[in-house]
Amino acid sequence: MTELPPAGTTAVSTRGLRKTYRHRGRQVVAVGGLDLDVPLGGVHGFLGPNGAGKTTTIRMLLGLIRPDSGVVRVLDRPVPQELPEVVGRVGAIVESPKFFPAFSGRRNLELLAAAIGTPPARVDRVLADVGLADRASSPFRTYSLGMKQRLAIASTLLKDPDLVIFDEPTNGLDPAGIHEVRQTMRGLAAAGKTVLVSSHILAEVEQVADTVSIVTQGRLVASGRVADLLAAAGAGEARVGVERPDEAAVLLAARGWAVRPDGAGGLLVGGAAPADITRALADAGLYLHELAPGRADLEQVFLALTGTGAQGTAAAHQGRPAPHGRRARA
Amino acid sequence: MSAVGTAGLIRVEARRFRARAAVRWLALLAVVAALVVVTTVFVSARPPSERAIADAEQQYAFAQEDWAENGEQYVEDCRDGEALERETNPDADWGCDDMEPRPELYLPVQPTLADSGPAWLSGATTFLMLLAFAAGVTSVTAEIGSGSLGTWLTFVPRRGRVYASKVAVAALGVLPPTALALALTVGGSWAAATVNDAVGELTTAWWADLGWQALRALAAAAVLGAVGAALGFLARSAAGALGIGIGWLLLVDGVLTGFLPQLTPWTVRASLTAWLDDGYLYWVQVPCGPVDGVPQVGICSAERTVSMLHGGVLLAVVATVLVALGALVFRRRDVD
Ligand SMILES: Nc1ncnc2c1ncn2[C@@H]1O[C@H](COP(=O)(O)OP(=O)(O)OP(=O)(O)O)[C@@H](O)[C@H]1O
Ligand SMILES: [Mg+2]
Repeated sequence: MTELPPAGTTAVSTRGLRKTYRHRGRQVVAVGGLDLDVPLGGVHGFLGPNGAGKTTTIRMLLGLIRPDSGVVRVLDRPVPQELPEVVGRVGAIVESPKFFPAFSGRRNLELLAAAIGTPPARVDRVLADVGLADRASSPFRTYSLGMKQRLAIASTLLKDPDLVIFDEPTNGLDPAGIHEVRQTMRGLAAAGKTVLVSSHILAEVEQVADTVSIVTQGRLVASGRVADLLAAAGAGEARVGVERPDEAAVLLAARGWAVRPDGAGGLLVGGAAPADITRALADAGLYLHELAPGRADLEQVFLALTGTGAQGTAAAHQGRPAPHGRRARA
Repeated sequence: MSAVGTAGLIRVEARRFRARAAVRWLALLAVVAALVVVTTVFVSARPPSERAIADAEQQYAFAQEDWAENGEQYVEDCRDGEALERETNPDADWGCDDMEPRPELYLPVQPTLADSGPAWLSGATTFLMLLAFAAGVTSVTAEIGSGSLGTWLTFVPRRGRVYASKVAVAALGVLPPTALALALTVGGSWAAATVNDAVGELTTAWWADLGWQALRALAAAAVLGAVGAALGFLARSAAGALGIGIGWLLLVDGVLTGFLPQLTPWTVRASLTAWLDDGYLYWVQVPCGPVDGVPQVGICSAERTVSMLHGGVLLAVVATVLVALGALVFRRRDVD
């Protein structure tokens, strides 16, 4: 177990965090020795397939469940020991928003505000902020999923938090709702707050996250800046359609680029900028009829690291339908 | 932003408690229970109808006729029977000198409030106790069931305070509706008796008895509210908590008193009744004692009492244990 990073550098740090559940006499390891670091500031994606232990980890950060072992530090305070001192600076939505179903959105927030000594006037302000002002008096149970999500976001804003934790915030939202949640997260980050957002869908986090941690089966498998992870996975391969592929392959390989057939009469070229490929082929009198620039996306990194679906890096690169579909759109 | 203290938390919980629809329904039921008791008092305090009086007078007339004709014979028969019994039981007294029919034995009586004592109040209190318990249970389980307790804990993470405030509000919150129902019962019954001119002479002692009984009912309601909340935390579902509470009274207490009546003082049901009604009578089977130094064979029934104080102490101990157990469990338990 490595040391905790120096104070003041991370919003959240865990070392050797472990939680097992007993279910029908069987032990389920939900989180198995997790070392997580969420840097201070920006949006941090917390990624992993279903059942990876993301929600369990978040619950432990909030003191809702007790770790079997390991240490947790939130905003430089040990948790759960000093949770009461930090909880006022942490806003969180765990799984689906949970409020009192028969109470209106406003009453739910009023009670929460009263519990933390926030002036009641702030309730209407945060309700307006999330666009719920006109439905604030309806019972929570009559809200649509999107409205529930907004109310949950409003509740986190009651505290004016330094750290906001969203657990799968876009689950079940329509595209407009997803866009809005992303805007909210970027807005919070721009205001200097740290946002921790969990998801099992890469595409969702890729667009907003500055840094990510990828977990699977309760352990960390990769973490860092999104750009670095992409670079580590290779810049991606460009797909090249050309008149005489065999001749072109020899020529491109001679330049030191990785070349292999794509299995459909074209070539996959790694390590080269599209412009360089075009120039090299044109110089030799070989003309392109297709050039799709390579773009390694987090999806590939994710699939490779977590081993979801097809196994390993090779599979991710060999034209699995999903990544290709995304690349075509890109 | 500053966290509020336990007192502030209690105020917030009280707001939540008051706003709960379930709590309002239970309060309404308490008022209904009071009105049912008042109605009963009203009906039984009605002056006897003309017809009932006429019937009674006729019965009395028949009896007088019969007495004039056969009275001497009756007295003679009575003396013979008495003399026969005195051979084995020298103390036998059949009251043969007092056999002449008297009008008050035939005319319907109109019970007065003063005669009935405060016992009629207990018709309402038993039901009020059930309502207080249910209110305590639902105040906690509704939050656990909806998952909003988890949201609450992300705002107020001190579990000890959360627990204390919820249990305290369950105890205090049942007081106003219980007090209202008791006041309605007393006031309504008094009005019902007054309307029927059947109040009688209400002595200071009568009022004092009534006052003490009402205060004990309030205390018991608060305790049951707190116990309901604690069981709610332990069982985490309304069905579970109500099942444990009512199941205990019916099954455990019922079976215990059925098979081992001498354990009655240690049951919750008898203790609660003893506390509310100033003592609880029960019978146990004992070997018959000697009569005039002559040992008797066989089993006799003997009357025993669970005292009010005994009942109160037992209730307090049970409640303290449950509330403490709930606190211990909730402090460490995972919350969804
Ligand atoms: N209360 C519980 N009792 C038993 N097992 C549990 C409990 N909560 C979670 N688990 C198990 O722990 C593991 C991790 O669950 P968790 O909810 O943390 O995953 P997740 O990463 O949030 O998944 P998802 O993306 O589906 O939300 C799973 O195998 C789950 O079955
Ligand atoms: Mg989850």
